[in-house]
Amino acid sequence: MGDSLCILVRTGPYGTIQAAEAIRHLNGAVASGVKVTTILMGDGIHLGKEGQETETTGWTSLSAALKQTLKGGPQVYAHEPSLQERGISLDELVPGVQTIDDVEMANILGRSQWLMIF
Amino acid sequence: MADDLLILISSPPNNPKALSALRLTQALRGEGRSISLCLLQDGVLLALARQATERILALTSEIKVYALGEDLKMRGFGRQEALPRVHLIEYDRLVDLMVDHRVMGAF
Repeated sequence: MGDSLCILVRTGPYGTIQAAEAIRHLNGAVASGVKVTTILMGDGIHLGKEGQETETTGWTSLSAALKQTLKGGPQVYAHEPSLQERGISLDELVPGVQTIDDVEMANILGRSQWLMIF
Repeated sequence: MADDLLILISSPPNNPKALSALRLTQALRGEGRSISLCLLQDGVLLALARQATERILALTSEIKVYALGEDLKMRGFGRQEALPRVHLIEYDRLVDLMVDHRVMGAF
């Protein structure tokens, strides 16, 4: 077991505060120098969807926030079966997000010392 | 007014609440009730053609199904990705619908 944090996002953006909190903790981990990996799974896949237009709503675009956070170097993965279930392809996601299958996801979860689920 | 029913769905497609709402809508339609459906928040994902279920497809051909366009755009989707029979509306229109219908519940 390593000294890394895994953030597992299972809820979509905007319906609840969960996805926004995941981004906030991801930013905090990156800023604190914690080795962090984020996995988007289930409805959490929608957090990585490119082109979220929030201008008229008062909400902060979480895909834009994720894009900004990715510049800090954290690894962000999208669970491939969840993408397929939703008919979303990798090229529709924010650049830099990579896909993983169930086995790879299990390995990441197994290697992580801390797990935060949103 | 009182005979025209409106069901709001704000939960995502795989959520049991959304599935219950769709079943309730179909049942009421089967009883011959005048009913409309409005999708908002995560519920707008039900309007996506790419993951449309047989149930929502059937409903869009039988009743008026509305979706909040703003909530769809927030999630990175637009008109071209929504089912053709779904009417994309703004908040003002949602308010009008809620005034003109008896709201059965928000799921």
